[in-house]
Amino acid sequence: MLFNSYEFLFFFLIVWVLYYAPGFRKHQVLLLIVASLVFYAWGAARLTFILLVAMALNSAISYLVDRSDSRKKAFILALTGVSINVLILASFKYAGLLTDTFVGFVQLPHSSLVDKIISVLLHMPLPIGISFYTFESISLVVDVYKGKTRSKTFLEHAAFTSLFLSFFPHLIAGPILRATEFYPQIKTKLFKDIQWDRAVHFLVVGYFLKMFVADNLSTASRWIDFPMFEGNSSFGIVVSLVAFSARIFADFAGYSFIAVGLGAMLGYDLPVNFKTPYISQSLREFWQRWHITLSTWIRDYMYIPLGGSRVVLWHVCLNLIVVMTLAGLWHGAAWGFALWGLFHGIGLCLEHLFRIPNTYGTWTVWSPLRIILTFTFVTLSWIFFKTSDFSQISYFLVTVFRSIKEPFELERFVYVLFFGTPVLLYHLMKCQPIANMLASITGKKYAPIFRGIAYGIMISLAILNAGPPYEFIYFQF
Amino acid sequence: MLVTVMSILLAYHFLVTRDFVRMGHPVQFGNDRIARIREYALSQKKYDVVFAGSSWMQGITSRFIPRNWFDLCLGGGSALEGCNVMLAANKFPKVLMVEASDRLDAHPHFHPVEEALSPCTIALIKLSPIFDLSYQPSSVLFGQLNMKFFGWLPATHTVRSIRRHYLVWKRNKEPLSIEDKARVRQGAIALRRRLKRIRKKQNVDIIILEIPRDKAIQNTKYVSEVNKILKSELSAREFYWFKPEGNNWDTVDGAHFTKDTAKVLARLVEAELVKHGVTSSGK
Repeated sequence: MLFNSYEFLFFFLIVWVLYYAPGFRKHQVLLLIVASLVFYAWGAARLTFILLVAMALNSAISYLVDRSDSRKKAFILALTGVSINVLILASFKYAGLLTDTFVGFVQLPHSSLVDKIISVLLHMPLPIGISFYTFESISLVVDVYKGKTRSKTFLEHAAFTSLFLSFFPHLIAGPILRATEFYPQIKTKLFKDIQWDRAVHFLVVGYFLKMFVADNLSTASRWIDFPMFEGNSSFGIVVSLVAFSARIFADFAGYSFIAVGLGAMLGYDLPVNFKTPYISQSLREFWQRWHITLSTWIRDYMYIPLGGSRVVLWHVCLNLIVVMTLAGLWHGAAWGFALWGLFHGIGLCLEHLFRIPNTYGTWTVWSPLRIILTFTFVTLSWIFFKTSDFSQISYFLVTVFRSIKEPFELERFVYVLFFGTPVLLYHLMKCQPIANMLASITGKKYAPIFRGIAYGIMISLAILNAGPPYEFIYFQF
Repeated sequence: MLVTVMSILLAYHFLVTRDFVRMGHPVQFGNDRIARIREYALSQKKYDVVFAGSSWMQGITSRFIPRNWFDLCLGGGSALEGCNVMLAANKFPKVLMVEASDRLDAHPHFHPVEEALSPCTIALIKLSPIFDLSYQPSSVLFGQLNMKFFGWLPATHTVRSIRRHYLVWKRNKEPLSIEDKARVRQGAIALRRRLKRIRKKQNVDIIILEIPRDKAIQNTKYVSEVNKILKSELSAREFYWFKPEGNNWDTVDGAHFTKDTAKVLARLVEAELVKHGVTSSGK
């Protein structure tokens, strides 16, 4: 069920009204779990079974870890839990990629049985959102092992865990929650406690980014797909690549903002996943602003256990490359995603080697140049993300240089400018000097009025000029 | 916030209903086909001929045959979606020409008809024309700027020999796999069912167009196997097949026709339709 569909609108209204109805107050958790399962089953009823297995399995294992009488036993149970989660993810997400790669290298004997096995492995269904709820499951087991989360009874723990994994605003594409932050929030919610400011802000900005910006930019960004880019000029390809850069931000940040807004409507404080990533002055800063819940997950559960930055320089670089390549692969079962992660890993390594400082939020005379360089690096890296085939990537790069003499696609430039400007303005408004200037113009007194007008314009544009409703890009992960 | 939204919507409604704002064609890929589906389904107009197909045939007939015929060929889709539109709207032409190719199940998750004819959206459009895609600010603006996003796209492209060689190599090297055979067969069966329903509802004269393939791949095993399956499921005893004469078909990418080839194909299609009793005035 898409957030920007009529079905979702009706679904959410029904759930929301029931949720705050006096008769349902005692059963809010159960209502949310049932609603989340309906939401999930709407698009893929059969694959709901995998989610149910994950909910049951992680409830049981994390409870057993918590109630273990020795650290050794708890460790073995936690390790088993993590391994099973990784195995589930690997079976459904990476079986096809690994089989395809294996068959490419090894000549297998031809028999109907072998062909059948290969066919089954190549066509494993991909349960939507599996990467997200698997990572949440792993963090739950580890956090319980570390003693960060405790529950009173098994029933309560199972209910909390089920809601934690299936909570529909974040189920499909994050943000990746932590049990330590979510469990304390599970309690009876009252209508009067809704944080309206937070809910309205994130819902309006999220829907605007998705419906007006991302869905419309999809028309221009499709020209970087193979073989569409072949007939384009270098200028057209670059414009389309920038369009994709703006689109993926608007699409993913849009989804995350809507999730935060919906969470606020239900009384939950979900973490903000994006903080204007395209004004980053370094890659390190970029990863502190882009898909924040994934980068902090990777930092806490992979990078730091490997030694983090407290080891010798070559080891730091190795850690960064390994961790970023795996983070790339997390996105999708294709080597192009691994290459995308590797590209970022190498970039981060170079920043460490050249001791480029992480100037998060500070502003100097060099900041514009650093922002442009970081944005260029990130935008170039989307080629690997978008095109997962090696031969297509190299062909893409060749085409960029070969098509310099082709005529400009002026229409596309105007189109991208029209729909991409909100992304630019959104980022510019968060740049420190501009933010200060705007604050001094509007003043504290009139800020709510200006905000109201801005929200009104955004809602109107989302209603009047919504693009074709595409699925969120991150749904496939 | 709500005051701003209401003010903007009312102001725009006033501008549209007082003809201060001129409608334009939707510029987004996706919205253009939704607009076309709505144009067919919601208008009172009756059409003598309708074409249903994919992007391979899209625009060819509407651009090069100046008649009152409707082009329901949808980019990213196939003849199946065109048939779905007719069935959903319960509106049929006298003659229906459908494209038969291996794209019959191009996107199994592609449901433009449900999207275009959603009761909520239709109700909104009836409430105010500002909810019509043709009155989207971008449609109006780009229409005024006279920018043709969906001009004859392939004409601006150079024929890329690399792409064609790649296709020939691929098609020769890989004859139809078992899965592809099943896919094409399922697509053909789905089309047959729809065509039978259409014929049952109204006595529509159905012509199946055997889509000409690029000269570089038309004699490959792949193409002959595809045609064999299509003809076995959509048998000539049940449906009339039309194969455009000639074998010098040129495409920009192995699939989509160049402008010159498209003109030739449009002429042949027009001549065939005249044979079926469609007069030169379009009647």
